[in-house]
Amino acid sequence: MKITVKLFGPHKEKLNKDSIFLSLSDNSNIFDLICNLNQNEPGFKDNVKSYAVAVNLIYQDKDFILNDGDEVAFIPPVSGG
Amino acid sequence: MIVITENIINIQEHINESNDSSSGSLLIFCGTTRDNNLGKSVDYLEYESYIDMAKLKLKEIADFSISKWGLNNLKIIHRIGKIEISEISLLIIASSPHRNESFRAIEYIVSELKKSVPIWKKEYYSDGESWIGSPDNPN
Repeated sequence: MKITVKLFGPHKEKLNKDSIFLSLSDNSNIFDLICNLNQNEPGFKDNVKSYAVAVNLIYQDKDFILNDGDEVAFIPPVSGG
Repeated sequence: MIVITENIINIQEHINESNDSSSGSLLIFCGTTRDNNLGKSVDYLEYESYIDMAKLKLKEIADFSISKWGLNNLKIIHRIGKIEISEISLLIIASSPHRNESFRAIEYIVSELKKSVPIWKKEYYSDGESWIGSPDNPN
């Protein structure tokens, strides 16, 4: 299945990109996605432990099962206001 | 009403739109950009957002607030992009029959916004820059 990963703020800056497109095997969850990105995207894992994750605009836990076409956003600590 | 915009926020325009005859309280909160943080002089700020999700989270917060405190009117406007010092980055206007409800609602909205709405700010100094919310530069 195909997944779009969105990056923001310091994470986007560090990896010098705002999106990553990749394929995962069916029934993969967010934790599987993180493992994949840790292996294939240099610098990805340095900060991501403290980040929240949203799938299709909704916060989800790391065991959430992904589906084809999902947009997964890694959310650094927010600082609006 | 929820707005995320790169444009300068015109308070008076939003006050005029928020006033209603059934409210005895029209409360305005402005978040403004400071020229200092943690002992450093700040030149300007930049805000970034995951806009679709930020609008969704703000709408959840707004719907809850309207229901819990019986607000007659609520506007939440957040700026993104480059913001100069002393400009308004966040405007909240809440109207309600009595003042307590709008005071409580605005305190809740600001608090929730700072916990869960995907917006990030970066400070620029004469000698560098820093994202706010990082472990060495907390929000």
